[in-house]
Amino acid sequence: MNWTAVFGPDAWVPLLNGGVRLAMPIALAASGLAYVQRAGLLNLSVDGVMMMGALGSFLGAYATGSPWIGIAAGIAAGMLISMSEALLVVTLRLPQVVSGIALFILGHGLAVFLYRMIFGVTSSPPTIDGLGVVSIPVLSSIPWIGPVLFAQNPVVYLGLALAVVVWWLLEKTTVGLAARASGELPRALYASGGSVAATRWLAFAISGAMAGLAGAILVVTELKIFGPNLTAGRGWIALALVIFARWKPLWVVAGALLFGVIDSFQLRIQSASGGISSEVPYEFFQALPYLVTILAMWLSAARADRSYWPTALGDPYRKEDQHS
Amino acid sequence: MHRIGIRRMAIVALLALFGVACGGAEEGTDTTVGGTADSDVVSVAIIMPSEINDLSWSQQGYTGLNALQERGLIEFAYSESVAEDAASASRVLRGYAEEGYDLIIAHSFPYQDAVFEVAEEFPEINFAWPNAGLDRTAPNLSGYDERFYEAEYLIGILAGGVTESGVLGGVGAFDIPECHSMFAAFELGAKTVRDDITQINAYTGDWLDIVKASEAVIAQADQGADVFVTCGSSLAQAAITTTKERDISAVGFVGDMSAIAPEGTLASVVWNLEGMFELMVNDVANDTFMPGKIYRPGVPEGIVTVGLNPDYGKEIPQEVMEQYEQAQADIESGTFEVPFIPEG
Repeated sequence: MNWTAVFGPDAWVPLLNGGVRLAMPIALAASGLAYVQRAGLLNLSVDGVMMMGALGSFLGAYATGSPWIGIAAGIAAGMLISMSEALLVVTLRLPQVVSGIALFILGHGLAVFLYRMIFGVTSSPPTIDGLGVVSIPVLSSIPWIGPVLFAQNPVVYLGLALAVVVWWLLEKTTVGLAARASGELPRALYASGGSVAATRWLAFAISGAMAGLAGAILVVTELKIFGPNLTAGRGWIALALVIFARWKPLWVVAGALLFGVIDSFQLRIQSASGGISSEVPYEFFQALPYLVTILAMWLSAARADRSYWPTALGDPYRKEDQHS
Repeated sequence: MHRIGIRRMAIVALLALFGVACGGAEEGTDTTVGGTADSDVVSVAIIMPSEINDLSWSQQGYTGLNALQERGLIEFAYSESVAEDAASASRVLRGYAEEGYDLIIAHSFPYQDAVFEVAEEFPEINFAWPNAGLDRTAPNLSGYDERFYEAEYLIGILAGGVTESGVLGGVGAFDIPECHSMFAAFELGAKTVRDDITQINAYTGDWLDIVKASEAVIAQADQGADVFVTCGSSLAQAAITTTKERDISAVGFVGDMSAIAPEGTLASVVWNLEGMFELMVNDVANDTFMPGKIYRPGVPEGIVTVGLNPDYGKEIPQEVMEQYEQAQADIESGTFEVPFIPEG
């Protein structure tokens, strides 16, 4: 068992750096989810939104040769699916669970279908130019945290900044206040002159943008190719994380980082422990990030009271029910 | 209220239709369906676990049958992305059996339960399935081997000559006999060139998670690995695309994947499914397919080959190439048999 390969001084920086990298898609999706769920909307389609974001970013980068336009296209594609869910759930008041899951399936199927329609069956798959790592000049030289936090892909920096913006929007502005009211007591928002529908449409737009960006990160950073099921359940992990972090946008980022670092760790320890000849079954290492996250969820639920749960989460809002 | 109710139902129905249409298996038919118009032409149906443009498993199956069709030997229909649970797969297999195809191929090991179930219901139809080392057949069901480990041994020799750090990496999804034997053979081949080679392996737990596979490669590259053997089409794609990020090389899986990153692809294990399926089609045409047997052609028969990459960025030392060619000759002549190590 090669312990220094995993725990030695040279190993920590790549491990944590990889942890941040692995965490970002989940962190962004969860950050948008925190906003939209605080507004009372389940948004179960998030994994499908991420998939469409991945496809959109691939197509955008492929067509124009610019990864940044790809990222913008990914955000737009994500918003397209999210706004469709808004149409179903907010305007047509269809059940949130069914609509969310239908759009999750649609997101995955449509992404693969469009990719096939455009590129067909070929032995030379299309690739795009991605974005490389950009080290921030002074900050990345700070011992320990420098190379971990400040030697990342530029999209990571953008994502972290946007996560902070989402937090600020939700907790510190009247727009966010309206969103929170829409998730706690929509009647109150209506009574104070706000529009629940408009607030919820905006919430979906924000969640769609963040999840679309999360999908774009998957493609435009290291991968630079597209494939089916790129998201591999990350949207669902984000949904679980939002509950664990009690719907606080900054805490979801912390939770995602925990998951990402453990995932980065389990991949390294698998190799160091001898891989296929290891005494500990490798399946245990694969399960480790999920186990740690479930444990953290359970601990946080045991301590917390249920007041963190947005009261109106999942309930449809009908104006005409006001006077009953 | 009533008006809104109908509208709502219509929309939900539309959604459900959309979901079903986009979610499930995609079917494609190249020619006439059903029995053969010409008795010399064998009608073949194949179900595949992934897309026909995966550059690997399913694409090789599709192009193999396509080639046979162009030679006038068969007519075929295919279904791609058929889910690997018994209910979905048996539904599609049963559909083809009811249409009376001569040969039905369930092109993935996890279709095991489905294909045995449907084969029992249609004893007069020929079925085939990749048995991955599990020698299981039925009277009308034959297995076909995946002897990739023989080719990986040869590529391992090249890897031994090319590696600078002496550390090799291996990424797969699960520790199944196919992957285990490939990784073990790769290491053995490399050790004939340098005996200080070490190999580290990791499993991601998901055949389709390309991002995690890429992270596994990076994790191993951080630990010094610079040549990677891969098991699984998405994992191979991930490893090869990661060669653009780090100074590493990777091996393609089941198809020539060098197009993704020509400079970083050392070689690919190529599965000549046209040849493999031709063996079965000939037996079906000559009525010698049943009772079910195992088709075991590998490197010696030219069914599994090494696809060398002329655009590979590093130079392979001359004496290593000679050792490779000698080993290839030995395997093809039967002088040397690559050990099959399915576990441990």
